[in-house]
Amino acid sequence: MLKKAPFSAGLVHKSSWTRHIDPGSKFLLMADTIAASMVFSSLSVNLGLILCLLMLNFSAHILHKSLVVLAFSLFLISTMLLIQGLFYAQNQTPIFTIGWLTFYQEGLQHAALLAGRILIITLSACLLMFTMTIGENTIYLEKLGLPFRYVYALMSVCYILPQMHANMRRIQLAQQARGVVGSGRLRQRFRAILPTLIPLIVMTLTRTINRSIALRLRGFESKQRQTPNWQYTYIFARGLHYLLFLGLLALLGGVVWL
Amino acid sequence: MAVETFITLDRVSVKYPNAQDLALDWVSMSVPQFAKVGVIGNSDAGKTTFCQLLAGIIPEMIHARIEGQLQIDRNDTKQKPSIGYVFQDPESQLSGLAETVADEIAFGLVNAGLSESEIDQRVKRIAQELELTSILQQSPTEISGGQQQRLALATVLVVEPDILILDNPTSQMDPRGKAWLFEHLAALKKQTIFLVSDEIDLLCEFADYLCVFAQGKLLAFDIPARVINQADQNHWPMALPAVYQFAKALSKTMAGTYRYPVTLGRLKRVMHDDDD
Repeated sequence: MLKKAPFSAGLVHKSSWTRHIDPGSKFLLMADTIAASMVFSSLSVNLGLILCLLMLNFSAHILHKSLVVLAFSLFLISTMLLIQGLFYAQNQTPIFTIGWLTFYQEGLQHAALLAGRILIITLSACLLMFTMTIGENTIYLEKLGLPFRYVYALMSVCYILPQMHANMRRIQLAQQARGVVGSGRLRQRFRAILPTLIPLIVMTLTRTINRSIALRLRGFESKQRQTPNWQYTYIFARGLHYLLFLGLLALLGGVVWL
Repeated sequence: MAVETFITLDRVSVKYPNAQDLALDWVSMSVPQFAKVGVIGNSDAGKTTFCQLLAGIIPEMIHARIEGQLQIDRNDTKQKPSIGYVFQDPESQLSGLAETVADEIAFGLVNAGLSESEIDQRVKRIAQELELTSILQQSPTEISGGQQQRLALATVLVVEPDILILDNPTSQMDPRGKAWLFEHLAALKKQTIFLVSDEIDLLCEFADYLCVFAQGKLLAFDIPARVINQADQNHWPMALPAVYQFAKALSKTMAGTYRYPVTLGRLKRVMHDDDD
């Protein structure tokens, strides 16, 4: 796939069918699946989409990586289930009680739908992130004519979870070295994650601020910037674009007409 | 020969929004072109604020109230001098978009619109100078902290800035790596360099001038021998170089002064003169 890449010769692409599919098709697939999960507010459709994406991730040999990212988003999902299950405005039907906390069916259903959408976004983003290199995606989007600052913002959003996960691992290792137990039972693991959250957030924010300063000093917004002249070849790119774009139009049309 | 002033700070004060104290308090100095300036001081002394002010990060990117005047003269080409800044945390320096060390070094050059052949040539040259050639095709996130700091320096040096500002660039390096980097920086002749570091021994060998900050105030800006002798006499809370302590223990002052040497070269000369 990589014809000429003077500064990327060391890249290794996993041998799977996804290496022949262009980033545009993967972006459109992401847009299609997210649109489908928004249009069809049913748990079974969302579950079906999740299963399809899991199979795609599996066939692309990236399921393990994707599951690590999913595990990282479970904290968000569990807080969502807790808050919606207890306090959702349309809660009416109690479903179970833990101590003095009563969970409601409506809230849990709503939270499950939102959780499904998070999983769909994450899995489709994983398909884009882990089957393409960040440089390949960047060059592709730049070649489409998207200004570099928007490309950078988009890439930063896509890759923030894996980067936060790497930072968290680093903080956990440092804390384990200081005697904090980070392995063992689920409860122990959960208790070990809590002290990492504040340094993780502070580290991420500090790095973001410093990186934005460094990028500006390195001519990030320069008008002279040249899009690197690296060539990639893909198969069925145009056909897939039409197909996925039509699918997206149909889904968006469905919102308007149904 | 009179030394031409390149950078002038005239009673400069910096105050961050909602802060009670000044981050920099009435700082004045004149720095000649191509000078090597070591910047020292304890935590919250104002070193990073000083560097960020010089780089234009304050007030362009970080908001703060500034009083006084900072003037950087134009160089011979009448163009605004370019500034390179190296962060203490090397990962902050990296674009995050590069898959290889080579891509990362090339980032600034691609932004500057240079041709591919020019980029290729410059990347190879700087990689060779900073001993990064063997890792050019590795991912920037998978190299050691010391290598990352050298990479951070390479990303800045490759664009050949007129002023180079380094905020503690050796914090993740081993002693050999630190000594190597200081030697490399000392060999740069086309840049005016400001280097923040705690490595007082190396800094005295490297710098033409030392400036000492404490609670935002500039305590001293002078040649290293004068600054270190003054620091000891006034009991400033800072480390003293081993050479200085050794000379003091042996009561070996430099000829014609009451000052002790701070560099190995000067100490050798003092010892040699005494033997004669």
